[in-house]
Amino acid sequence: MFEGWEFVTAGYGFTFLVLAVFGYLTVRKGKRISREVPPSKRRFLD
Amino acid sequence: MTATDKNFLTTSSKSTKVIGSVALAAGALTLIFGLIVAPPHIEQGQSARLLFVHVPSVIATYLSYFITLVGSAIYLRKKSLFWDRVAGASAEVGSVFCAVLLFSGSVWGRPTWGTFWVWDPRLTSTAVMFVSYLGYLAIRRMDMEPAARRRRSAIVGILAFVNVIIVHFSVDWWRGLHQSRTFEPSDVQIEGWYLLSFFFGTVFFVSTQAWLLIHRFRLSHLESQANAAKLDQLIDLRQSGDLGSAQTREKVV
Repeated sequence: MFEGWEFVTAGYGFTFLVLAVFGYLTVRKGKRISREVPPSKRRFLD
Repeated sequence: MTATDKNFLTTSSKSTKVIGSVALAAGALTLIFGLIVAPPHIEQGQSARLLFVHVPSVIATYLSYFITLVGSAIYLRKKSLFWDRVAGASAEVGSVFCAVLLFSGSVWGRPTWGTFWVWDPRLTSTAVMFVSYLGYLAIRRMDMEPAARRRRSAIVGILAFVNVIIVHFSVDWWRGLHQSRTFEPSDVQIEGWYLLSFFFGTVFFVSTQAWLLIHRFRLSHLESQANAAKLDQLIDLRQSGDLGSAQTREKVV
């Protein structure tokens, strides 16, 4: 009944973990670097 | 610091929040439909559920590398920093998806083929594609004159895409263990819950790709602006004669 689930768990686990960690690190680095940039130079968000 | 300034202390915006919400919803639906609602496959059993992350990761990888190709070509023509950053950001995102596609394919290969890895044309060309885009990203970080670095990376960004085409057609050109393409627009071979789960998986990967691309692009812009701000500070310090102090230099650099 549970045959094959270990591969499914590994595949889904890796996928969601990698994307979540990469997304989190990107947003965190963005917040950190934003502080080093003068407000007038951050206007790409407009 | 005003409220407006605080709003800019991030790479997020309204558009990324909307795209991010779509990605989260589609991700949840992929998990529900892919792991619970869709029944096990009659031949492959539970492992067929990997289809809903593996094939969409291929789509996201191809899409990312195609954007790198377009960005590189436009950069070479217009020398636009915008397109250079788009190309670089997309290659970063594409390489993450390529790692996901290699891993999910590998764990799917074990129950299907009896091995995690085999030097089959599709697998080998995919591994070469992954490494070649890592090489592209390495060129983007080389310590050299910025315009020359951008030009060289754009050339590599175009040349590397040749391998994406080889990956895509490898199952037609050579015989190997990997099955032929799962989806042909004229002959869709899945239906019912499998088709719906695949649809949610594709929406999840493509929206995540767009979300990551926008954030990575903005991050690249901010890094460049931060470096320029540091340089301005150093020039100011030099003009004021305070650059000699090691403590001052450390603060800036």
